[in-house]
Amino acid sequence: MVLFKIAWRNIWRNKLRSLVVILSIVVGIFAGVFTIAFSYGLNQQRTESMLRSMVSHIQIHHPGFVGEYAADKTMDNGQVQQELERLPQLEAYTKRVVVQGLAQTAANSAGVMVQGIDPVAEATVTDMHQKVISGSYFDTKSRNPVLIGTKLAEKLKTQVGKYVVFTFQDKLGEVVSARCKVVGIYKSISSKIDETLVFAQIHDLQNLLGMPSEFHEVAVVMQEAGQARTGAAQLQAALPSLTVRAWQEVSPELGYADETMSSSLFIIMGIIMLALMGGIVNTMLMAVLERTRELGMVRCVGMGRVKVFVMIMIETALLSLIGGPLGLAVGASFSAYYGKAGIPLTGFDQGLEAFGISNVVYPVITATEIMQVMAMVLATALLSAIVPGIRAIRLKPAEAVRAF
Amino acid sequence: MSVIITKQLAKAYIDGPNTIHALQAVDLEIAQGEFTAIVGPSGSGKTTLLNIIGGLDACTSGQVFIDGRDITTLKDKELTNFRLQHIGFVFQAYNLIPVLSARENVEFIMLLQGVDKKARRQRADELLLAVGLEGQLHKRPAEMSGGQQQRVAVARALAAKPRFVLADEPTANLDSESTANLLDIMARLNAEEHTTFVFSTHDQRVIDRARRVITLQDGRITADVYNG
Repeated sequence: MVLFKIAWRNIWRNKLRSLVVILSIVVGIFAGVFTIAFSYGLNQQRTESMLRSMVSHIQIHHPGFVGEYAADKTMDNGQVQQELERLPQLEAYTKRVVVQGLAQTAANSAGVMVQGIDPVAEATVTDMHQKVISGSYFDTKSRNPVLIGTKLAEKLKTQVGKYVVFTFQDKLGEVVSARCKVVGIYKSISSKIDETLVFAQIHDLQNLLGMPSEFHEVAVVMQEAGQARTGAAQLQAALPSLTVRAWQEVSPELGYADETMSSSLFIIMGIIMLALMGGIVNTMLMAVLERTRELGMVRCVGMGRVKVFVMIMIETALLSLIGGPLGLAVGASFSAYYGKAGIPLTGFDQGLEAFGISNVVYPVITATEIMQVMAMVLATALLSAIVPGIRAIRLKPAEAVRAF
Repeated sequence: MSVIITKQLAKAYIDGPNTIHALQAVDLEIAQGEFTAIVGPSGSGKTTLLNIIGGLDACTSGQVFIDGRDITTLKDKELTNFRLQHIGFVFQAYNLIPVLSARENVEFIMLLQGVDKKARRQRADELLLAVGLEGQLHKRPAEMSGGQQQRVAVARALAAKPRFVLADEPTANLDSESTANLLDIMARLNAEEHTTFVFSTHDQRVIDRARRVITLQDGRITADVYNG
């Protein structure tokens, strides 16, 4: 207890120096925590947006369809629907027909991916119906209505009410073309989607492809994104002839980003801690140097090396333990505040859209991450104390006590 | 009975091609209750002798017996504990812990010895009373004069109930009045409690008050005089 008292009072012997160290710890940890929260928020938003706008939680395909987009690799109802409805955590699902093709107008042409969707069922799985910025989600009165993205509309120099000709191969490999009316233009979170993805009604596309009741893809949404892997495994077991993939496999870059985010952020935090450690060690070495005579005296009168080491350790740890929780509190408070208010990244809209990220970021940090950062602060504190502690116990008492 | 005995004590330092003999064949006995000054010019070996007797430095050859125990055979950890239990130190520059009050400085040694809080506080207060600082218990070193700080240092040295007190130039930084006060206190403690004091000093005022004066020259005892 007295060692704590001495250590605590020693910290305040040179108030300015200690305050500078504490402040640098606060700022460093605040920056680290906020960076973690910001990055997690960014990643989580990107993942959720991508899942909600396109990928969904689970996708089911014919094994030959995956990666090939072969029109004849289809599925039909029956067992798929039955097994889906057995899933306890199922929230919604929708069937799609997917085909690659060419979109043409008088002005231009572009390679596209056309998804035939059931507008009502699709709206329970993705949020594309909310992204329509011009026209309507689907105008069923029109013949072959399609929704296209803003980028594609720009590229084809077309607009709502105009026609676009789509050309693709049907189930038998025959080239078919259809004149479709643009009934709506959407703007999703990703400019890449806006440029390449076209939505048509599923029955229109089924008719054009010559597969009236078949489909290529089933997109499934679970109650939680985290249930995707178990749900996919369960469905795969029940549907061995089909390929069932969780979103992490459908879109590996999303899963990868999610998995590596944690480790890369802690590397950043580690670098911040290393920088702080340098500052703390330097300060404490100065403190040991300044107190050479005093440390010599305590060794002379019978204070053992271990106790001297512990005293310096406590002092160093206290510096970090004052700054650490303060930095954590400030970082967590900022993260919580901006987690609700959001951080507008005006000026970066286009760049962020290309990555499928909204221009307002909501930082996210959990208690687990805060505890992990706290553990890193503690480890930094203890590691920082080692060098000054060793310096203190290496002093020769008889010489140190006469040092000037 | 002798508290301190040195036998053929020698200490040599290597300084480049030269060997410096700081102490040579020092045979010395200091009995319980002595009030002894070790004098001599700078470089005569006073501090080296005190350091070796105090277990702060190792000798090159010879032996040092404290209460019959040869401390030259002790390991660092044992020596640290030996100093804590048996030797009191007073330093030229006081060397109090600046962040502790006078009372806490005195208690510090007893804390290292594991004395319980109540006993620590009682003895610290008694010792501070004995050195005339009963009104300064809560003052920190920076709030006290040099003389007062050295009196706290004496109280601290005595707190552990040591077999003897080693004082290295204890009056070097003090004015005449403070020196006289400090010597009065140490002489009284010596007389009343039979505490053994060994000083290294240049200060004639200390030499005049010492009952035994040992003179060192070039690492050898050249005179050993008992004052009336």
